[in-house]
Amino acid sequence: MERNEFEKKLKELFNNWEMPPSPEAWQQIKNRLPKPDENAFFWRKPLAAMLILGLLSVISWYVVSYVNNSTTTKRQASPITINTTNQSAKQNNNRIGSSNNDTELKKDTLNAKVSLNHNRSVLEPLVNKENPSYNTIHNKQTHKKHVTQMDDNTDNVAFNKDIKIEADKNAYLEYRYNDLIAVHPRIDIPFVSNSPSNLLANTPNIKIQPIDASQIRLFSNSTLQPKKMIAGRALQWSIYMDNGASWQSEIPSTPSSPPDYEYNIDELKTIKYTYSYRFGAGITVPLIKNFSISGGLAYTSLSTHRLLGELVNYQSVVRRGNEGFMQVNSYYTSNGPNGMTNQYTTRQNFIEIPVSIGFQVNPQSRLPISLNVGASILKQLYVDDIYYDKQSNIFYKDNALTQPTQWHFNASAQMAVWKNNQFNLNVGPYYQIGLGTAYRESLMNMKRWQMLGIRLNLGFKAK
Amino acid sequence: MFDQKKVLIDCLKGKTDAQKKLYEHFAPLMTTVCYRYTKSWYEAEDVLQEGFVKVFNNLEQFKGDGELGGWIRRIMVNTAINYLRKNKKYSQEADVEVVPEQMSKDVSPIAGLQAKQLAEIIQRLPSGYQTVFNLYAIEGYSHLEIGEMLDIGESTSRSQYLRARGILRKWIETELEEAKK
Repeated sequence: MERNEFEKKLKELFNNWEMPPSPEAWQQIKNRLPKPDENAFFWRKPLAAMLILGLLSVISWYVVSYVNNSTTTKRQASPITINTTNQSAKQNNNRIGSSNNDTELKKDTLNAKVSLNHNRSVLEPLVNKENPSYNTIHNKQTHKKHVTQMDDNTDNVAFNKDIKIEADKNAYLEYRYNDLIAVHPRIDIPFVSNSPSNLLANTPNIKIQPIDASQIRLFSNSTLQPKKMIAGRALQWSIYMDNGASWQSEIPSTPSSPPDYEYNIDELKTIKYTYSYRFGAGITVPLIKNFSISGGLAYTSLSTHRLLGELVNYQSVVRRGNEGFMQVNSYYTSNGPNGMTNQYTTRQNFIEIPVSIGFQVNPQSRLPISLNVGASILKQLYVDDIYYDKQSNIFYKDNALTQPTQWHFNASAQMAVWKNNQFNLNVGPYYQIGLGTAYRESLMNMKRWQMLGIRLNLGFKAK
Repeated sequence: MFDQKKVLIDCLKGKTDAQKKLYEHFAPLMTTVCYRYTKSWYEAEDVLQEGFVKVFNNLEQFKGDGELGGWIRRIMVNTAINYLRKNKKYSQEADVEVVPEQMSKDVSPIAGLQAKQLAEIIQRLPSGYQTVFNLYAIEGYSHLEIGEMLDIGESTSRSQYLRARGILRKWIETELEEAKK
């Protein structure tokens, strides 16, 4: 049937008819659409970070000392002393003139005398005597403040100069020697006040104590970046990897319940420290003050080495703690021919849900340190374990003897060795210990897992 | 200025701003398309929302070999049909007086009406008639295609269209007469 003028007219009429939908319609549609940008943020960055982290962790495992020397605090063996004293403690006259309006003065201005002494033999190779200087950092901007001269006539190289410091509570001073910079992290604190009157009131109390040599930290110039994100101070995702040694230890018995060694199916003397690892991801949520809480998911592999003899494919009977006797179809002797032994790696792999509380010790520092303690529940995914039967003096394999669900306590210290506004890389020791036995209670095997290692943690700010 | 190519690329990247631009460009026409297949603005907006969600979720399937507006319109029509089917609108066939079809080429009855008035008259048709009428007279589908879309016979589509057309003609004339009074 051919369409006649009626349909054509109708089509034309309706094709030119428009009516805007209600304003809420778009919002409804938008709410139902996937958010690929957020998904990308959620998955792609962690994936990339995980790869980087894996690489870094391997490197760190072998060259921990090198990493520490190059990225963390370098302490001078020879004594270095920086004396910073407020000599005149005078306010900027112009600011005093406007002191009637206290609110206009946002920063403190102070004239002070900075004196620097150090042992020539230590620092001279680092110092361009022609042009030593110091900088102040204020609101993320570096201001080269002063150039002074060295005194060549003494063993100690020194300079004494009047300086003018504009500082708020976020500022700090650097002393620069060519490519190396000494930082006193707390030098800014005495200068904090909000008004000229406060400044006047506080000035007599300004005392910048001589700085102990251990407080002076020298950084490579390229690593100096003020005001970075600090782990635990913002909502952030993190990815971490632990590399370390794991072992099993006997849980101390209480006098009321001495272990029945007759039934003890294992012995500690054959267990060695073994390489173990963990990798995981989590989220850190800031709590009050410097506290934060973290949670996540991890994959953990714990292992030990056992020294045993040769495999014998013959039936034997072993005792499984107080569960009675069991027949095994093969076993390992406790010693090989002529006393030779083979190494057998037992391994238990877990999926782990750790939760921990963190505390930022020094959040304003250039190398902030956080302490974390927590607990985790581990669900066993894989086991390859071998046991010693004291009565028959053989080792036998039985993967049904382990505790499938375990609780562990963990503690770690983390130092942010690199950070910017989005990321921070933290490194530090990690320790974990089982709160119960690694094996079923009925076996009278009182061993639990322990692990000590280095944690490498990459944090990135959540949107 | 609506730069369709750029908007499409950005939409495929999932950019919300681009999605909104595309929506704002096509939504006014698509609202009226949905309105013609439903019984109220509320229903039309439900279909519109469902349709645009499908559009954005399947945008990578648009090959660019036709008009984007036509592609979106087909999605809206299919969404409307699914909506009617889901809500069993087809079964709600009201008793209507069957008017013998006069294959008139006279277009005068609709000449005096606005699109909105006409759409409201079409809405008074039973849903089955309304859908067939829209698909044939306005979307331009053949009765064979309509039969496949609605899972009815070609002849059923044809007869329903003729009846709908006859009823509409009568209603439109009545409407115009009342307007004259």
